[in-house]
Amino acid sequence: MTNPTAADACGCSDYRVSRRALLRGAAAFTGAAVTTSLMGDVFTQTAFGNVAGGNVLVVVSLRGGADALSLVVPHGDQAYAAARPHIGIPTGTLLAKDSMFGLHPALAPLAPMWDAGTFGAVHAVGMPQPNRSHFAAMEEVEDADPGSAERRGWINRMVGLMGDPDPVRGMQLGDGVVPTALYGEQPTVALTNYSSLKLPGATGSWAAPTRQSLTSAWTGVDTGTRPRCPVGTRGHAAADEPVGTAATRKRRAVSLDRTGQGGR
Amino acid sequence: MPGDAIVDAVARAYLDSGTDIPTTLRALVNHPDFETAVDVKTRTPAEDCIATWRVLGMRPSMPTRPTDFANHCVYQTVVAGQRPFAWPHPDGPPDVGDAWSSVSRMLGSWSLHYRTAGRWQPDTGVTFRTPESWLPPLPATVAEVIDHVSGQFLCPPADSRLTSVVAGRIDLPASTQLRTFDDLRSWRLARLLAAVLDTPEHMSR
Repeated sequence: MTNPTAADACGCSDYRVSRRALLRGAAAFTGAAVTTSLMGDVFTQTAFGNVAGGNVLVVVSLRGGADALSLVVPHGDQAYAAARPHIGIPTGTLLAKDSMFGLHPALAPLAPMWDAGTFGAVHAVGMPQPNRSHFAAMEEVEDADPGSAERRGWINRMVGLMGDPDPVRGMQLGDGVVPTALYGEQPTVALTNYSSLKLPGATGSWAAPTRQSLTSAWTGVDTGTRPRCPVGTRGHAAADEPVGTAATRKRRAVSLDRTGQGGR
Repeated sequence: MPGDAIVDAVARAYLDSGTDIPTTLRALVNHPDFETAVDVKTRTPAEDCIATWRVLGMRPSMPTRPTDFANHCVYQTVVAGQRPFAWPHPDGPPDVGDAWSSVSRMLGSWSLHYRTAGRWQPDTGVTFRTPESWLPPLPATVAEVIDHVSGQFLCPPADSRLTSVVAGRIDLPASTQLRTFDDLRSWRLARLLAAVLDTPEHMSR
């Protein structure tokens, strides 16, 4: 049959396969120093891949890329046809219609879930006083904490409720920069893609030496007691210019006022 | 976090000078706490990218293609988790170690170190040092090579811990005699350079 049944309309069986693959990947790191938490001078290690069973919530964010009035069409509102005489979705093509809303015909694969009551839509979510800023509205939705000045997204708060600081409880795929909804005090993961969830260069017989080396590099380190080099000398050996002493570096910094704007 | 003493001294200089910026900066860099503030903070991903490109002696040239280094390098900051001007909040990216010690950050930085040490991706629009130029005159022991590289990347000579970490990464005893560059085959030089960059020493500032 061409249309999925209501029971598997979400394609969840495929997702279970992906999830197993993810756990396989994560299991490769178990016990290794994949995650480290640097708190001041103290490094603590967190075992990785300690995930078993349970439910998975998948959040797909199309940040600004979806036109809600075409997805869930308010065909019953006369203002819709008036405002969109050319690009409006014709009432006759809509799915799962009631007197006000209907689904875009391209959502046909989701229609069985709609009919089964397992899929719904929340329309026109935004600010009580819209200021026409897409960014401000997105922040409200992703932060989901009206009136609070805390920078802590709703997914991060939800992860925190699980009482288990497993860093792969909350994971973003698609961008290495943590999004607002995931940002917060709970450890989470943000990756450009799933395949980057691995130790670089640790293929085949190199897996064990790489893992062991990184583990010993990051275990029991106190950065505060290492021998220090003069300010500004570290990592300069490869550069062309001579490094100079700490005193000359300092003079260089102070001479900013002779080259920068507002110099005297 | 800076101590109260330096914050007070800089604040005082700022106010006493009538908000004169050069005077304020001078107070900052002349304070004893300034010089002792080395290596006690975590490098942010963007700083790690720049430090890595720099210590590896990479020389970008004028880009002619989107994939040339000068254009593509921003992608490496994405992998590390800190694309410039991409932070979703108006408060800007955090400047504390906790925020940059996540799983994805560590994997991103380690990946960056290995890719650039191996002179892979991006390999156009940029000049790398030759692999041989990282080594002391051969023959030399693995420990001597590690010490030589550590001196160039980190400044202090390698201690026994670093030597053990890096020798383990390339799966050779530290006492192994290297007679020719070929003794570092199987990407051992890239692994060796990356191992030095993957340490807390390189990843702090």
